[in-house]
Amino acid sequence: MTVTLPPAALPPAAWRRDAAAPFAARLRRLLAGGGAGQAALRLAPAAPRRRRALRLLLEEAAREGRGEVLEAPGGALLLLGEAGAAARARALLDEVGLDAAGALWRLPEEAPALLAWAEAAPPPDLAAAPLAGLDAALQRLPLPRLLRRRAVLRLGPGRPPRVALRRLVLSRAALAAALGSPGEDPDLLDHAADTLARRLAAAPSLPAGPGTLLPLPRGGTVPPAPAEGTLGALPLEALAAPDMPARLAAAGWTPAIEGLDAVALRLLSPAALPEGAPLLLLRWSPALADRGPVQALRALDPGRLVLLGCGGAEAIAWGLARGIGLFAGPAVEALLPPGEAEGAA
Amino acid sequence: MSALGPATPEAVGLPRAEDAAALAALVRETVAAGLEREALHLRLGPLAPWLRRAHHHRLLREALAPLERPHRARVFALPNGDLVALAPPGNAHLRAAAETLGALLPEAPPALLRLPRQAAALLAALEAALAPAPAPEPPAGGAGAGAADLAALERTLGTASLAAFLRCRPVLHLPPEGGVSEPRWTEWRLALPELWAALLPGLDPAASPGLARRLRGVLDRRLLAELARPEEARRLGAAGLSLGLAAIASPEFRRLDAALGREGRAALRLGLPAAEALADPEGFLAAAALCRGRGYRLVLEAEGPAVAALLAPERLGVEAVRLPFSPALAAAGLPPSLPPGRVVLAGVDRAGGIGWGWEAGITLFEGRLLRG
Repeated sequence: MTVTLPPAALPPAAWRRDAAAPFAARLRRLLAGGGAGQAALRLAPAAPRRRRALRLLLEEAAREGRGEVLEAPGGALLLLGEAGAAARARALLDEVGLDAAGALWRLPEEAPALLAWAEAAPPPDLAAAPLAGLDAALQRLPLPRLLRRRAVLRLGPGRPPRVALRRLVLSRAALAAALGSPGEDPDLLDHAADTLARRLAAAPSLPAGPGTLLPLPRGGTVPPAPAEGTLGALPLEALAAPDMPARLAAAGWTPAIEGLDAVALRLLSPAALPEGAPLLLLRWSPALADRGPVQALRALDPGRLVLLGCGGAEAIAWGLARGIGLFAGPAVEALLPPGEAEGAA
Repeated sequence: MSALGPATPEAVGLPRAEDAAALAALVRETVAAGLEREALHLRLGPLAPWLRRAHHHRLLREALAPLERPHRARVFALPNGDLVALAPPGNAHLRAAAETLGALLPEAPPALLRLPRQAAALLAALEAALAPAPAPEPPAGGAGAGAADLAALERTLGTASLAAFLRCRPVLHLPPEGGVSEPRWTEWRLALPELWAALLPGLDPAASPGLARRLRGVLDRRLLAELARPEEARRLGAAGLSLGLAAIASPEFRRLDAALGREGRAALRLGLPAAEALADPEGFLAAAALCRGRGYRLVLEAEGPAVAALLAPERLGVEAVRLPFSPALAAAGLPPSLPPGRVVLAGVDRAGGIGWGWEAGITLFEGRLLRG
């Protein structure tokens, strides 16, 4: 089963056959051939890139448990095999630090419930990706529909919360939905986000200056900053290009590195992050409080960190305890007095 | 010989001369062993049109003839038409040839270099002789590849053979103390810049990283499909293969994986691009877990020293880091977090690459000048 192939990328004949075969019918055939002591682990649909990572781990687990990985038309992943394979998958997910909601069916006892779920899955979308028209579509997409206005607040003991930065964010979910099937391909979604970041930087009447944080493309042409010193959220990936810091500076941007989270901190040596970036955007998740990420963060000045995605008091308390002063997320915007809240449009 | 043809050494009537790779190997051995040699470098490349005149062919041949007898000197022909003669010091024939040639070619007097002291200058000449023609400049404004270009391309790529764009180079273990050089594995790589130039002429892949990565995924899968044929998979042996994350997740990879068997997998090194580790840390860790679990060895392909410093090998679970030699790397030095024993220095066809690598403690090298 080969559903991770991007839709327009010349799938081999076997793929076309697989995709056309109704998922439930295929599952029924596989279940008919299974013996006792089997299990099915289902992982909920995830964004394309996350789904690819989950799929790789399930395949590794399947190798040990004589299993098979299937992808349901709606994007859910299913690992079918000996019960040990599901346990191995859980262990691998923990090892990599991936947090995935799942459901487990014991087989063959619970096969009817599994089939009922499969039959309720939405039918496959076999429309070819209109790749050829993508760039034109990206020029037509209305920016306001894809932009979210967010605030970054400075929080600290004994002082009222105040807005430190105004942030414009491109919603990847909204972008993927607006694009249709090309939005299912992580690389095309990156391309779309880059194109829109360039369009945004050239948009009239844009907030600008050192108090504003705008998205930047991950490579290619760097658009001129709307005002000298405007903060640009630079995807971590852009650091692979050795000349990126110089090009950003030449275009008038002050970079804020985006893409740090608990998983990225397992890979990165934070001390090697470019010193020219005064701000580092760190996405909150409970895994950030684990020993590994906490240790990695010791190499960084907490004054450079902005804790994103704070959904509750736990995140804010963790950040304050680490000396972080800048926060964003729903739980943070809720702290603003009603007049100051800039609407989570 | 065509009067319009290039003035290759064969064209000027020289007997069989050896190629640049052999000269590079000899210079390296000479330096490693501390042997003294004299080298005569004749810059014929820029003079090629002038040399097409028959009268000069004869004079040149006469000047070099004494060197061509056995045991006097070895004459090497470089790809740009330059000639290099190498002999033990004090070789009267070499001196005599240098004088004659100086009188014959006053526009480009031959350079007499002493090894090991001037090895760097000789390697620099080798580099210049190997330098590819400058790539065509992308049109002004750095036009990026558009999605429409890519769509057209993916339709035509389905059956195209990539053989013409597949480069295979040995990775050698070169001990600095002058021991025997030892081939460790063969790198198989698609010449992506050349592929881009051939497939999308005038468009700059760096302008659209997302599209470039998608195209790379398509190309990787084509390559994997070719390698997964049983006779190809059996032949692969100790090899290195550079793949994007999309390729690792592809059905073509699973076919190759099955065709290789346990031994084939253990002999294969998979190179994963550092940019993908930064773009998708979860996917990278997942792919690394899968590949290690199946017995492959992993190599991180870093674009430069800055990204190599960001991604220390022990955090990623990779065995080695492939780093291209560049003036920036020579200036910055290896990141302290990167043990030199785990570095493969690529692109060492540049002057001084191997020398710099040795100073930095590196012993694994890959480049156009190296032959196993």
